[in-house]
Amino acid sequence: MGLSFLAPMLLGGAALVAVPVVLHMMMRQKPVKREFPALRFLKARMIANRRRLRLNHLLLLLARMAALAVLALAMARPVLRNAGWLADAEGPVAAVLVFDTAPRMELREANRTRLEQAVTLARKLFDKLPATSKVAIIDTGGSPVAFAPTMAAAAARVDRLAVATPSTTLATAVSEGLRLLETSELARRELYVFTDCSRGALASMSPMAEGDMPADTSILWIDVGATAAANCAIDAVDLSADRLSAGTPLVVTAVTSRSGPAITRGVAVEMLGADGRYTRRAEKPVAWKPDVTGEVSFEITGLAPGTQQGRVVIVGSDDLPADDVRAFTVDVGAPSRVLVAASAPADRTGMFVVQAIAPAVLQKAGRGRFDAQVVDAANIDATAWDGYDAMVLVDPLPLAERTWEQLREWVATGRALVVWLGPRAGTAERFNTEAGRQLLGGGLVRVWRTPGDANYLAPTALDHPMLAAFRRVGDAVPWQDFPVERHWEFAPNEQERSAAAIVSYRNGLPAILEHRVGEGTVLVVTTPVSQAADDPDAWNMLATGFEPWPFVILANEMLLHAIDSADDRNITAGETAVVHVARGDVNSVFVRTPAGDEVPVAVDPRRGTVTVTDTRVTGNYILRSGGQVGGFAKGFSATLNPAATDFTRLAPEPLAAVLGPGHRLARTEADLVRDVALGRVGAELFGWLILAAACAMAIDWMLANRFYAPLDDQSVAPAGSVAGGMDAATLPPDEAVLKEVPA
Amino acid sequence: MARAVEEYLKPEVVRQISRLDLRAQFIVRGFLQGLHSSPYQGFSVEFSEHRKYTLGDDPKDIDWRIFAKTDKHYVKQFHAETNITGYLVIDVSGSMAYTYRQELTKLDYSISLAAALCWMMIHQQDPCGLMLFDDKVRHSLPARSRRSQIAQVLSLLAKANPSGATDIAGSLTQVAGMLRHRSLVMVFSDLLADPQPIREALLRLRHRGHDVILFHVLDEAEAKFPFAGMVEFTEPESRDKLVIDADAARKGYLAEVEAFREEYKKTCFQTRIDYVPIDTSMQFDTALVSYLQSRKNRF
Repeated sequence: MGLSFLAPMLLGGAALVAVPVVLHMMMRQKPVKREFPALRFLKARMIANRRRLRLNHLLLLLARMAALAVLALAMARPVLRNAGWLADAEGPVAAVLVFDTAPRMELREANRTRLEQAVTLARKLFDKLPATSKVAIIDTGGSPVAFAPTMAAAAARVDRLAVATPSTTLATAVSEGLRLLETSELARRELYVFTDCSRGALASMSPMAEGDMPADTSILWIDVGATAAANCAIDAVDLSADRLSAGTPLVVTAVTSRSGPAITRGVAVEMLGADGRYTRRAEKPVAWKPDVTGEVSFEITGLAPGTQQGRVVIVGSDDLPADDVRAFTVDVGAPSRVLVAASAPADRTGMFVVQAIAPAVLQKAGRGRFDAQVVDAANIDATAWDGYDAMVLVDPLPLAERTWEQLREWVATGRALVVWLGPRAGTAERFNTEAGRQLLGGGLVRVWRTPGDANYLAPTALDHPMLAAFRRVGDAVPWQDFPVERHWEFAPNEQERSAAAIVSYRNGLPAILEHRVGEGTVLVVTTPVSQAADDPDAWNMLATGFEPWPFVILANEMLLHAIDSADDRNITAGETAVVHVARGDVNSVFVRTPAGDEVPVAVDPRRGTVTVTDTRVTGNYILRSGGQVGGFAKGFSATLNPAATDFTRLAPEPLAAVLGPGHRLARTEADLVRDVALGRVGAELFGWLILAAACAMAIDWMLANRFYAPLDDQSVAPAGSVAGGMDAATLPPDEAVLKEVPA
Repeated sequence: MARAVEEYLKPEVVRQISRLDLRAQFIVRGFLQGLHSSPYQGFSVEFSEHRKYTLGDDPKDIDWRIFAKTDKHYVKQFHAETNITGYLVIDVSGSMAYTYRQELTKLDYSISLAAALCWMMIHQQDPCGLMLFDDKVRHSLPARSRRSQIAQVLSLLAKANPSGATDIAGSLTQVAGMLRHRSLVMVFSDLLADPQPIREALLRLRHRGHDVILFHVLDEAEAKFPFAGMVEFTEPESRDKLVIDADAARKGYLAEVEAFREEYKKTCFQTRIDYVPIDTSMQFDTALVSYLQSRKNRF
């Protein structure tokens, strides 16, 4: 904020403050002379009077000087402006226009999208910019941050603005704009932010403090948000699994929300066919209630093996189309082959795991997720592992160093290993080997005993993908019904890449640890599921308690996570997608974007993966190589971050807190024109100063009236009056008469 | 249309009468005429001694002097009262020549008043003398009750030349020494001097058995201080100067004057001196009433 003057020359008028001083001095030098015999009475009060006189005169002098000084200041037309006070009012400015181009800016109100409204106002703003200004256009879609070569180029850039999946947040764009302005050599710098002031745009923004804004830069926020939009939204799509066995139904759950009045509209699931067209597989009518979040679920059956893609759509149209469609991708294929290596008797030891991951009923129905094969752990070296996707070591004996190394090499190729540690591990010294520690990411320390029901699995956070299945149940999972009396204490290696705890026991020690080895994953559970319920030495009741469904889910999810952690199937738009090709004969694939473009992408020969970085367009991406027969075909789906479509307006108080103290917010074209003028020319203080001058004069008048109030009985003697009561003719010639001549 | 009675007593009306003897007569007649309708009716008792003799009156109360002059019998009921020897003691120092915006200076006012009192006393057959002083008694006229005394007194008053410094206390002491008989001393002064010696001199007069009426004559400007703005005041006797903001000083000045008068009033009350504070804008009857009141109180 700065102060400048439109007519600085008139500041010289401030020298007029000397006038009262001069007048004061002149008046002091010319008192009225009077004869007065009763001087003795005046002398008695002389000192007090003189002090009061000086004070009165000083006050009057100050009031008059203040009035003149303020008048001179007012004539100089001072202005308060936010920036650029050194610059001439019509000189060039460095202006950065930041546009929020998130999909929520497509929200239509009054037959105009928010972005169209922003562009319209921006055109008005261009009219207000001096001709030689330097202008930069920044959007949240990831446009280059630089000043346009000419004003015309900047204006054209504004006209080309389009909604895009945000590659950056509005806060980042604003910061980049400020940094760009700092590079400008122009004295006056202005930042204009076009935003819908929504929760999605500003909620994650840290409040702007006074010090965040450069002193010589003015920021004007332009609110183009809608106030009465009606919209139905699919906020998220939740799949029962994104990797299914053939014949397994897919449960698709759509999370819905409504802005505006209640309405009934259908929600449908459409699957993408080989011909590139969507076929509606299910549709349900949904009663949308304002500001209420709902769920609608669909069960999709009969999905053919391979990568299947689909979308959830809202039937009909509304004010914001971006959140009416959510795409998804699932892989349907043969069950993963799992080798369960259990100590002898292997069938009995591995029974609980096998029944959990590959129950006989599902196996017979051909709907099992996993194809489990049980072998004796003693013969593990003799078994060919290449045909398996995962291995489960159930209460393993101490393995040889070489076996650990072989396992490590095998896992590193993208396989999964789940180890349920148990009593057969013997002692920590015997079990721990260097290769074993490398594979598991740590080593055993000792066995912990907790008698009774005091200890059990106690997941504190369910944000790990492996625990996603428990999120819907949350705290309702009865882990305390499955006590763990004994478990191994597992100490991760003291190096950067070591095992990380996913789930802990109630005593705080890790229960399940994850360790990434190459492209594969190792999961270590520090208590076994190999002991019968009647075994007095059983370490826990995870698999033998009443209705052990948490164990069943946990065993399945662990394997699914360990086997399937490599591929990205459903990502947030803008993120990088990594898809495993796992075929040596495929060197590159074509990526077909939702927009219809086909882009060749090379396969990383070392990792055997395809990395797709440009995923800003939402929808289903198809990766294809070769023909329909024998070729490679996979895919993934990119969906919008919920914030990208959250146009709920921020309440005034949070909005003011985010925009910072002293912010300027324009909502209409008139606001914009006024605020631009205010920011550039500043707020004229003329009126205030005139008011101050009037106050000073009023004070002067009051003081003068108080100090020099006229007497009621005061009258002026007639001029030329002759003192003395006698006729001059009767008076002696030598009679002297004093005479006072009033002023 | 005849003028109102009170109008005769106004200094500005009196000013129009140039001859001092006429002026004194004018004042007294106006005063006496006013008394008939004034609340001070009781004072007429003192003048009723000139009523005609009627049957039943004590023949010894007949005023043979009146009879000798008028050839008519008049009864003077309080004959003894009239034997007051009055002295008019007037301050003729330089400060008495002051006026700001009145028709009469303090001295003019005092002279007019003194002349009226003289006229009144002589017409009551009371001897009346005159003393003029500044730093000492400059002129004196012994008390006489003849009618020619009026002319002599008025002549001396008309020639009074106000000038020089004043020594009120010294002059009053001198007056006290000059008066051999018990008299009524009527002092006319602005008392603008150190009050303590003056009070002592007044006491001295009282101790010698004189009755004293102290006419404290101030100019209207001295009593009300009507000045405004910056004023350089000069004291006419000492030529002392003082520059002051009159508006700011007014309140304090008036308080000082009031305190000054109060102090004299208090002292005079304690010593049974009649203190008459007057200013030149006041009517003469104030002074005359004070005189008559004093005269009445004496007997």
